[in-house]
Amino acid sequence: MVRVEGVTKRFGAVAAVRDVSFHVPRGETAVLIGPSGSGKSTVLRLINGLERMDEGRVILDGVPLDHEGRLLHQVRAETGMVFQHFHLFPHLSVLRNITLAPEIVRRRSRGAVEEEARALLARVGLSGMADRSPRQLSGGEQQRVAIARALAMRPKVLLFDEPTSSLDPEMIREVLDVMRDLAKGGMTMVVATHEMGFAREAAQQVLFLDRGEVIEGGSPSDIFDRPREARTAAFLSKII
Amino acid sequence: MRRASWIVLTLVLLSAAGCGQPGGDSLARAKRAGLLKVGTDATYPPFETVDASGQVAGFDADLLREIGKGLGFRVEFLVVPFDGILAALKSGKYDAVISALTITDERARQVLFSEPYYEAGQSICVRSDSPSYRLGDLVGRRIGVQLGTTGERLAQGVDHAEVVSFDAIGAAFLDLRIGRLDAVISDTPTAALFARAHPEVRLVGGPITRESYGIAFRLDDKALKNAVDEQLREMGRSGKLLELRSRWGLEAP
Amino acid sequence: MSRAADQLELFGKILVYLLPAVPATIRIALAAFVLALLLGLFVGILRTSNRRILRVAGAAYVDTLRGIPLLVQVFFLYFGLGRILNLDRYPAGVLAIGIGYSAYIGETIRAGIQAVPRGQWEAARSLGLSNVQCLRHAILPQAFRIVIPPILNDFVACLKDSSLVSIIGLRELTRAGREYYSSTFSDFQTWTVVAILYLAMTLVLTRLSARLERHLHRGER
Repeated sequence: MVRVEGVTKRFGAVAAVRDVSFHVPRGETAVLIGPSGSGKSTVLRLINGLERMDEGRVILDGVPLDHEGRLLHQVRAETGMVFQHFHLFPHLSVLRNITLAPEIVRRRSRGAVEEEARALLARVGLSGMADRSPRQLSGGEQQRVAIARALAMRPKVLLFDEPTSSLDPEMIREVLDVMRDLAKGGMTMVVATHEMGFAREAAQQVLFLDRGEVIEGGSPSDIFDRPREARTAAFLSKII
Repeated sequence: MRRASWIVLTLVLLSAAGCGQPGGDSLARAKRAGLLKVGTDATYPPFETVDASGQVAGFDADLLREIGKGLGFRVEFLVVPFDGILAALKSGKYDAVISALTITDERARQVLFSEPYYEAGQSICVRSDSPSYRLGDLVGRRIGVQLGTTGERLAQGVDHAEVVSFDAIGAAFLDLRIGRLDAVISDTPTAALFARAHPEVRLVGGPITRESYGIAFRLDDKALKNAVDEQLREMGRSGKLLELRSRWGLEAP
Repeated sequence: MSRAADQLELFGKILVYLLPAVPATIRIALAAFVLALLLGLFVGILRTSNRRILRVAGAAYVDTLRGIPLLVQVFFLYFGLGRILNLDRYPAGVLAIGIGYSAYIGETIRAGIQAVPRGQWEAARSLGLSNVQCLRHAILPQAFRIVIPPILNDFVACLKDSSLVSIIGLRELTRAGREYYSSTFSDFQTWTVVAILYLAMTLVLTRLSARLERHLHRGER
């Protein structure tokens, strides 16, 4: 589904992402791990079109993504993103946060969209919160709404940029549960995270990035239990 | 908090009622200092304008400088808008006003006037392609004037006329030229000067009123008035007044 | 004691003379400000655009208008440009003040847009909204809340600056004050009443602004 080929992105003289390539088949989940500054975020943002690559391509469902074109926003509609700081729209209700994009981007009717939104809320365990304001929700609840919001656009791939790093520990579980259910339900996902438990449970692929390059990639057990590279082992020893 | 501000406001208003004016003898002060401060609205040629070097120039300016020479002091002009010119005199910003100022009964209640030094009148100016409006013809029309002048007073007396008052008469003439006014009422020499400079406008006939200009002083400044009057009489006798008039293109009386 | 009574009677007379000029002042200021808001919104969006040429255009607009005294703009628009465009006094005055203030409003709105966290843009874009849609649905509503107090401040300033239109012959409160005292010489009392009237108008606005601010921030922690 998602193919990243030889992607490079420079900020000034520094290459944040250097010649990164990987492939995530449909329905699978890939987890990106690595120290901060390793480029995990940037890779996600390159898939999403929030950043433009200097070299390489991203191919989504067989179609190379045209990040230069004026129809970039249409590209972005095919990829969903969940952010570390949720970024819900504070001036809109929870329900409206979810229905906004499908209604105005996909031009669907308000009624149909709302019905689906309520179903999504139920799916993330937040039925009954539809009319609340984001300000009234806890961090974990807000992140689950953010996931529902991204899902409402029926993206081909869902990207997660450290989705639990801003959450209090007791709320991490509820968000990871939702993510795991999504993965098991067949959603194609790319997740940048430190949550190893989630990676073991839900991911088919784990990639270790350091300073913009893919050092190593493989199944979760390959990476966690039998890392080949010294840098990988060093990183893992710090976080386990 | 609100009560306190009301009290302060009332105190300010009451103190305003008792606002005093500078007393005493401007003449003596001017002779001592070698300088007299004079207010003028220098937007009114040929009586007063500001020339290219930033100096006040014109008939009035030269006249007062001559008077100053005779009395032993220099003159410093303060340029102020016409509508506030007498108020500032009363509050002591300067000690005299010369500004093509018409002597009227109303003004004479507030300030002391010198003897008349110029006989003038108001004239009507129209666009060259307009009919020759007389005052009576201006019923229901748009008349441009300067704020606070006798010309404004005259225009306000015309039935149903729309009187548009400007800070400076030049703007009124400009408005006339671009067709937004039907006529401008101003002092004849100024109107004549403007009509000469801009063929799109012309004077209609001669002056429609008779007015005298005077120099204004504060009510208690009798010594200064008397000294100035003396100088004016002397300048009339010596022909200096005539000389100034011809220098500034003003006809002989 | 009768002196005080005389003064009060004078104040009354002045008030009666000046009051009819108040609606004129409000009309001019309001019309100008609505224009300033519309133009300013456009300018604020230009200034925060992704395209450099739009940003530069917006900056040029703001710098030019803020660099020329408003009085000169009024004069120029009526006697200069207004001649070519055949503008009457009232529309020229409103236009001049409106355009002049659109520069300040534009800056206020720019600051408001920039105060909305970048994450909001990113979230909206990630959902597939175009730039225009982002602005309309996500960014501007949030910026709106932020800019209401400074915009109301700008309106208070606009109200005071509306007196500048007297230079092209429009009659408003300050001009009415000058008319009164030039014929009656009661300058201090006249100016006091004029000041009080302006103050009354602007105080209503600042009170309104405070109330609006409280309303908008209801429910926030």
